[in-house]
Amino acid sequence: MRIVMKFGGTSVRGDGFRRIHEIVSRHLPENQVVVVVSAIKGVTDELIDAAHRARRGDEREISEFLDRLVDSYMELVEVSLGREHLNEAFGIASKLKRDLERVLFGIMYLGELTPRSLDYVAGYGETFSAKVGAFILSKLGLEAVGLTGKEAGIVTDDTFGDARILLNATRYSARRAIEPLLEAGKVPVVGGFTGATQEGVMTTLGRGGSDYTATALGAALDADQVWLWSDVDGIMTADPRIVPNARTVPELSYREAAELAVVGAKALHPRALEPVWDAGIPVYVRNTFNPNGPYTVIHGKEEVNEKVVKAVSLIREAGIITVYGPSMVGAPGTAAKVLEVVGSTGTNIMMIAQSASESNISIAVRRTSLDKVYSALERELVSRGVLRSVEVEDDVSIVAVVGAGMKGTPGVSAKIFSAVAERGINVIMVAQGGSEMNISFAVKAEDADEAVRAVHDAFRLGEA
Amino acid sequence: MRIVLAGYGNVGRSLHRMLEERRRELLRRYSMDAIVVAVIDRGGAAVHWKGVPYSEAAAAKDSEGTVAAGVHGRRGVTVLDLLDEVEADVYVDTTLPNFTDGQPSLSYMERAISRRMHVVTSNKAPMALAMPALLEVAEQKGVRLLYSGTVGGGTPFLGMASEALRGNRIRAIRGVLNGTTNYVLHRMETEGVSLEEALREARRLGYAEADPRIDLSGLDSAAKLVILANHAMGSNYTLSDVRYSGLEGVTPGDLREAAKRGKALRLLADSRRLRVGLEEVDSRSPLNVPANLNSVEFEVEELGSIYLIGRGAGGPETAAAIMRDLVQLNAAQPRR
Repeated sequence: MRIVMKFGGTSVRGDGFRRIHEIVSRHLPENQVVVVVSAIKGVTDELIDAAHRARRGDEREISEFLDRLVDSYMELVEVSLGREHLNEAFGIASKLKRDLERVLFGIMYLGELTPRSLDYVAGYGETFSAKVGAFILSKLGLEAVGLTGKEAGIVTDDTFGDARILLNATRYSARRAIEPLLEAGKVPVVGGFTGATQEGVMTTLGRGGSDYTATALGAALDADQVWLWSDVDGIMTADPRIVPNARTVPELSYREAAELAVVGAKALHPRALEPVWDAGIPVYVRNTFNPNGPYTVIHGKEEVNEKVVKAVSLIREAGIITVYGPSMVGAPGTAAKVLEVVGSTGTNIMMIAQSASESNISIAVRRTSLDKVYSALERELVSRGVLRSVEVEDDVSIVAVVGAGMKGTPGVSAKIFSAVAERGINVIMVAQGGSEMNISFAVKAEDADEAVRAVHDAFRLGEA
Repeated sequence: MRIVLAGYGNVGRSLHRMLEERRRELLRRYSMDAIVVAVIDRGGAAVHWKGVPYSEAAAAKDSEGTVAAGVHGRRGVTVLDLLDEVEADVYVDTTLPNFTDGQPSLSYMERAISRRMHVVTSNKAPMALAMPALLEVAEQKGVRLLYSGTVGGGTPFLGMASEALRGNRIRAIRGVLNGTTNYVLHRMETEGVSLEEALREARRLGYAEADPRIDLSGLDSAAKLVILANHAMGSNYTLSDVRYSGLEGVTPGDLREAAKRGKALRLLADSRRLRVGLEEVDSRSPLNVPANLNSVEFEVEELGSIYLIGRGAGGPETAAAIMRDLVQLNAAQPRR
């Protein structure tokens, strides 16, 4: 069997590579394993921060930062292997450090940080993890080879910061890069989150991009399975900090998992399922710290069983903007104008609802975007008389209820809303997509946790 | 439309001559002003922004073996150098196929695409090995990649599928895609000559490639099957997905014996099973074509079978296919 295993930022820190070694070697040599690693948790943010500070011209801080970065990876080596291999590892880390240093100084001298150079810097944590990680795994007895995303053949478009993987091009180049290693019994250790354009310019895939790297490699290499190792027991029915009796969802379809990824199940990159969907490669979400514990399988089978609702997710820090205007009634194109103005601010719309009376439209967005959306609507549409008024409600949370079984099952929304109403919670706005896989509703932020618990209890998600 | 033309064999020079001879006609009929700003072969390039004259390049090639020997010649220049340096709209690749890794043509095409030039190719190796990847990259860069000349020489098998039958559903494609092997089989069947003898004849007539193994093993047909199937049916195959065999072990006796039963043995490529191999067809089937012809059956929903028959190779023929691609590009391009 050929398996791609991705280890997240909490799975690589500390003595993480010892655990990775244990997990991977348990599956060798009967299987071929490709390892994908993230940066140590927190490092990507520090790299981005360092790039911004370099632009502001603080030379001393660059050197200090680079030393800290090398130290944090040396710590991994020491914890996993003891002191005896530190010198050798330091050689590897120093070389990477020198490359990064050159780029940071370049940014400093130019006083300019382009999306392109930011990506180069931001992806370096994964490069460190891959190269140093492969070193540790080799000393522990695996024939590991460290590769950057670029070296592994991940080809992307040039949307820096949120690049999309070109799957056909990646299939072509990743096979050439990785298959010979697998055939020779080696374990490729690939830095996640990064790739390169066709011209070889480094790009990054957006937050959680290592999942996306893993599934893309899975599809490119015709893997049998993709395993995403993180620090939670798979995908949960709800956030266990809110709902103490939340459980691991044993199975999800690609569609359900994709819905959940978008509405905030932190275990998954929203685009991560695209590559494996058509090929039908199952994705396992597992916990490095509890490798024999419960896990989630995401696959193509859409089982509509007794569990109509699979999970409840919460998006905090949202706001609602409602636009009113008598002229909207029966005036085609007003909705389009509103959306165009919202879109022009670069804001992502999370929910949208319009009553049949057409007298108002409500839009839910992230709270951080509220101000710019509000002012754009006032400036562009209220001032010109297209709208009468715009009202803002901040301090809102969105509860998303997901499950393929909701489709065609009558009474699901009745059950949701009566459960919420019984706890005295007022629902501000409701939206359901035509897929009927997801009902989302907005409540006051202070009611959010209780609303999640209400739905979780009503559908008995805490029970096996 | 400024063109960089790589490869100056039969196909390349036929195209160069055609573009020059038909310049006025192309302008009048298609508003297409095609200028070959550079030609290049293994020895180097000839470059001129107003157009490299055909007479110059052809004479240089004939006398000294490279287009770089003329007045506008530059010896030792590579295609990659040229693509970086010359301002052009289209890169035309007529280099010879290398089925091991598609190189060097594959990297030429990639470079042209990343320089945002359209690519027209008659080299089937890179397409058969990396067609999905190349098309994806071209789309991402906003350029076109056209390849009519890779299948069927000048006979428009690809255009039949994507243009004439546009909007219909093609369920399967089957056919004779290699002229050399068909000629060999035909001679063995009708004259009773051995495979080796028939192959010698094919060579004398200029049908066989320098390395006949590519034809005889079924590899050439397999490459064309990949391109034709992907083009007509939107699949994402590459050469490694095709199972192929060729004329190994076939004797005149086998062919005659089949003929007695009203059958003919043909080297058939079949999209359904994605394979190439010797198969019996009815003697009266349009797939049983003589000499070095190609024949393809398109099985179309509602229509049944449609056949297209024509010569499957040749310099001027393949150049004619490239000409169609260029005219198509010109029609799609905003006027500059």
